[in-house]
Amino acid sequence: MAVDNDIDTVLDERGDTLEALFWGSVFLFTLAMFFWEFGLGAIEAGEGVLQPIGTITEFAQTMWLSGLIGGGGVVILIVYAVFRYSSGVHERPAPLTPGQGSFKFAVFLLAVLAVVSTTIFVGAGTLAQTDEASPADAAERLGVDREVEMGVVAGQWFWRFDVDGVPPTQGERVVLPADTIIQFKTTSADVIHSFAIKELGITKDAMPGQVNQAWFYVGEIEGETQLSFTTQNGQTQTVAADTYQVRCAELCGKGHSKMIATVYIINPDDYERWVEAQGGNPDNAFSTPDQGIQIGNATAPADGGHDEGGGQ
Amino acid sequence: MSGEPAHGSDHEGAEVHDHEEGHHGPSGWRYWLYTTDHKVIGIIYLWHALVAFALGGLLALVFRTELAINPDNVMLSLSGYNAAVSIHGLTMIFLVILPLQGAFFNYMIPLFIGADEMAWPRMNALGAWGISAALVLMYIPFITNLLGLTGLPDNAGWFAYPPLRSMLNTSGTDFAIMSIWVLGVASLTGGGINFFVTIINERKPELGWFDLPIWIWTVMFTNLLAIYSIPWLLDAWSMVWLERNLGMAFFNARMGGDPLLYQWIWWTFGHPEVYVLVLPGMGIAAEVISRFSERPLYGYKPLLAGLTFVSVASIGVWAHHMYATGLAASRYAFMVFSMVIALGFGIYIYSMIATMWKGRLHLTTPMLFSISVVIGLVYSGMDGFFFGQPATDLEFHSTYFVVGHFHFTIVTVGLFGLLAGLYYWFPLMTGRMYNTKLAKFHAFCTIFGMFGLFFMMAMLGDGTAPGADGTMMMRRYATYVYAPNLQLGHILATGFAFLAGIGQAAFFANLLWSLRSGPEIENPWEDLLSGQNMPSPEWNGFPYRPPTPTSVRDAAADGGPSGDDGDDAVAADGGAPDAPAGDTNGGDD
Repeated sequence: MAVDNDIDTVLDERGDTLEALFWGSVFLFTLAMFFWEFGLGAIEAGEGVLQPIGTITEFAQTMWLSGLIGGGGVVILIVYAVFRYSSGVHERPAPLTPGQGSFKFAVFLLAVLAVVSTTIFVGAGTLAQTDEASPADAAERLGVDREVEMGVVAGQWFWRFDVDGVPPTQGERVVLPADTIIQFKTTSADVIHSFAIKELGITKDAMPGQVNQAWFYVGEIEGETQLSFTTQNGQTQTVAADTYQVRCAELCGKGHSKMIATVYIINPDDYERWVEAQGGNPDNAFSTPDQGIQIGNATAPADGGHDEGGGQ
Repeated sequence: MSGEPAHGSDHEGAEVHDHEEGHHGPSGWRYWLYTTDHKVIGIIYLWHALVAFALGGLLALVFRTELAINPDNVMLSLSGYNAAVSIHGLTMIFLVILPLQGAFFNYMIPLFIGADEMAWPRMNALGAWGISAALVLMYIPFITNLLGLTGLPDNAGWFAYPPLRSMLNTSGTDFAIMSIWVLGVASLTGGGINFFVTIINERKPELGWFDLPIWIWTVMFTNLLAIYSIPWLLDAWSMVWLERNLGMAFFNARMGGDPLLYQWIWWTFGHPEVYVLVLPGMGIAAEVISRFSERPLYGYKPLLAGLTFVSVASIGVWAHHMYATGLAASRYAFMVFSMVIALGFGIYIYSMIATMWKGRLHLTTPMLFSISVVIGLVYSGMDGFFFGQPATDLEFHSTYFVVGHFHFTIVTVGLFGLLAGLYYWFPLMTGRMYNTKLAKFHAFCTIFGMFGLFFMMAMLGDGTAPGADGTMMMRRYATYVYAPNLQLGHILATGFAFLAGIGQAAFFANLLWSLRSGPEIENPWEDLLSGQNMPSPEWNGFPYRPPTPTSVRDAAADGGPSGDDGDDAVAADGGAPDAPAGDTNGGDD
């Protein structure tokens, strides 16, 4: 009966070469996926003109690479063992004796410890340069002397941008200058949202009753798109711009996936004209980088922080 | 082999419980409802887990289909999508993996430690039926919503941050909270504490701490962590329930509460919970890999030290889930704790590879799933580094990269280990053998499909998916109209998901067929594993020693079945000159 044959296959101690090849290939497939993902991560170079993502990517690259070598190496050993030591291929298991291989084991532990501690130190340095650094520190490191402050209030389901020197806008678009430290403070009017510009390495939760702060910087623009606006005397101006998407990064209800806004980055000269066109004073478009507020220390007004982040 | 007579007294009752015992106990449904027999309760746990597994899996296929067919929502409403995702997560974590573990804990702990029963049999029954109530409460809102009586099921995600959750205007959320109340109380008192006390108090007197199987150790750590962490979960959700229903304010900023408070409480539960989910699977994989590689377990005591380290460290890393909330300097401390956990898991991975190396691997279904556990642990860890580090976390936080990472952890480590256990112990629990070809088909679809699916998720998240061009797929997005070019990645992911789904259909068919018509068998692994001097108490009874190099050598010296084992032992004595006095070696007890 067929059923008995099925039992025989379980009890079959011989196995066969084909089986080892087949299952080895299945595990090899997972390894190929791993190399695909981590390999692409490792070759993605950081762009210094975009911060903090440039600094983060430099660090992430070493992590992709060490993951590729360490994790990939370990799985190669497992896949090799399946190919080489399966019952269909390998006749007799080698004995394992007490204490065997303890030197190798100690070396392995030390290697893991070394990699982990290196990552801890490099990671701490990266954090200090990116999310922990105050706008003034960042400006000094990047050699920038201009800053624009922006308040971001998130709500179900909108973003409201209150950029220093221009009237607040609520909607899908905010315009900011290149080669300038953008310091933002974010809070929420209702539930928890999260202000994320993934292409720039920014994720900061917008929490009701709390103001969180961080900064980002776009060194120069490529002009991949254009921004048109009407000046006070009725002329239409068109300037080169780059765009970045703001996406909400914390589940906030029904409209979560459509809580998308676009950041237009334009050249500083164009930005002064933009500020003037909005009715602001171009001379006050930029301020000097300051220390910013201490992260997590400030509290928003009880009404959800309507005037937050706008003025000094 | 030395364990030959073990088919006698000790475990003879294993296969016959639902036939013979019916004569002197209640019959029919009363037999199941009134039982305090740990084996029957284990089967009850198992059925609940399988029903929930089918439900949670179908939900996943529904929203994976939605994601593949169109960047915008065409099948589900936006909130309906959120509900499907939330209930999928809650089901898989609380109603599939925990009950599946409970099934093996119930059935196997007494067999493994030589006890007659659990410490508190009646509490044990309470734990089992608590799952029933939890399952019903979790899924009632689907039915009442279809009938138009209530709003949608809970749709705030599985970790359900307030104030969103406090503001959801649906009784489905209250049902989900009540479901977890029942499950938490039942699994804590009837389950966790009971399992832990049983191992401490009911084990055979001659079983010392270092004579316990490595699997029993992982069970101990799991239940200790569950006892520590589940009260935090119940606290957090009770507070949300009080906010929703009695107008109290714990997390409402407008009334002086703090939304961040919830996250501190929740993740204090949430991180140890991850290790609750994976440790038993890792333990089963360790038992299976050793026996199906015909090699003693490499490094029993270092492995134990590694697992202890992982368990202790797991209660100090929770804030790495909260790097984006505005935490400042404390992130450095949590980063250090999160990173050093790699040491503990590194020991486990090393130990498994050293056990397999130069062994003789029998690629049976339990062994295939066990090897996948080790591979999955590697991928999960490599992805996990990016979330232990605050700097990279800010780049990948709340993308599909996180989703891929924790599916590697929970499915390919936690669930695959339990599936290995199911295939390893199914004949013991039912007295019948399953169809091995169908089982291998299940193994292929599951391993290939799940790994493919989770890699696609991770790649959608970090922007490396085909066609993504660096755009990251955000987590819990019902639509991705912001980047329609992600559709190719979603189609591939859904393809892998359906392959895995076909595998699970084969699994259920195999299970149901085998229960009725599988060939009767006592121990299908007997021929395969005999002659190794590595008996396992649930199959072979006692005396028992863990399968360490020392115990295998001693057993061979006592007159093992094959002469060549004796030769190996002689060679072994001179074979390890570099061993430093036996502090890091395995099983020098």
